Amino acid sequence: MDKNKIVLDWLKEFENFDKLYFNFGDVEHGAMAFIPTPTDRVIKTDILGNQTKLYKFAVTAFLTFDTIPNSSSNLVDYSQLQLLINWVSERNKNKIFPDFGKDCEVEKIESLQNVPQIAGQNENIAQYLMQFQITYIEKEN
Amino acid sequence: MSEYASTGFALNDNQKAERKLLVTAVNMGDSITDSTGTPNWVVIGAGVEDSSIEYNPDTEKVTDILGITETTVNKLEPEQSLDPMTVRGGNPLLFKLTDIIERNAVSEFSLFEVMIIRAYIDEAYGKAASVHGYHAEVHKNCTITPESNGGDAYVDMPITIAYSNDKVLGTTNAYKFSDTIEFTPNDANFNSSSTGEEETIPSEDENTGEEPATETETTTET
Repeated sequence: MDKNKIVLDWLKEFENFDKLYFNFGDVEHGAMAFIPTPTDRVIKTDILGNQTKLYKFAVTAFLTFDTIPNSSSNLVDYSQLQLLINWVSERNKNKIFPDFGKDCEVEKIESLQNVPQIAGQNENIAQYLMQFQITYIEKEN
Repeated sequence: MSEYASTGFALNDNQKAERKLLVTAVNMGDSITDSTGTPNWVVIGAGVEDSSIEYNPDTEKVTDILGITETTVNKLEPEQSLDPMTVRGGNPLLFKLTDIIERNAVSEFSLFEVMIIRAYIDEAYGKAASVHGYHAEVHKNCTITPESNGGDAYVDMPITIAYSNDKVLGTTNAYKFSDTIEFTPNDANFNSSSTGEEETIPSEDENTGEEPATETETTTET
């Protein structure tokens, strides 16, 4: 079962994605990329052999910015990205999780930061980063 | 003398037994002493990271005039705690315990049949048998007490099991949470003897030291 594809398909349900890439994509305004983090690790094992694991991923977004005082353009873009964090939080609250299959039970999905983080910039484009974590139980087979 | 044929663990030399091979299951169906009806063995311990059967041996030490110490084990009073035992939908044991608490029917805490399965000992190990025979012991009339109810993020109900030592030895075909577990007592007459039917005389294999009987003893009146 390809968890990366499952999570990517689940993310695509967020209606505000214009262009969503996987790992690599064009660096242009509005482009976003889903980047799985290599951390699908066991954090604990119970006495029946069931393993609690973490699956982490990031979503990066490229947006133009301006340096004009009192401009609301940057804030508007930032708020658009905040919607993704809010959307994940809402999905977690309503337990609408990616389906990892019958041997896996997702416990929660959470954002690791409450606001988008600026990861880099050049003259025209800023790169924003949002990181998320899925806690799930892989049942002993 | 052992009731089992196995002379070793179902493990390769020096191989460690994984914790998941020692399983505790509670009967939430009909008693094993019922000649009809079906037990329902529910494996417990999901979400519990660490739990051990504490044997609590009651020992006496005597050192004689030669300086030799002799230790006598008088009894074992096994107990097992499971924490956190998070309340989950479909868990019949925690539902039963909650029901007992609600009715304050405390005597019902002592009516549980609890089975310990040692899946690292298998009567079928090394044989061509298609059905496993994991060693199992069913303790009748065990006491399961909830220690608390609450916790932080989820509702937990940690429990303590006091094993009765009134045990029936046998084997099971499976041991995993998702399996349907069937317990087969070693004593083939286990259920029939509980209904009062004629019992066979114990053979030498049952460690009585007597000569094996070749026929059932009867008395006749003249």
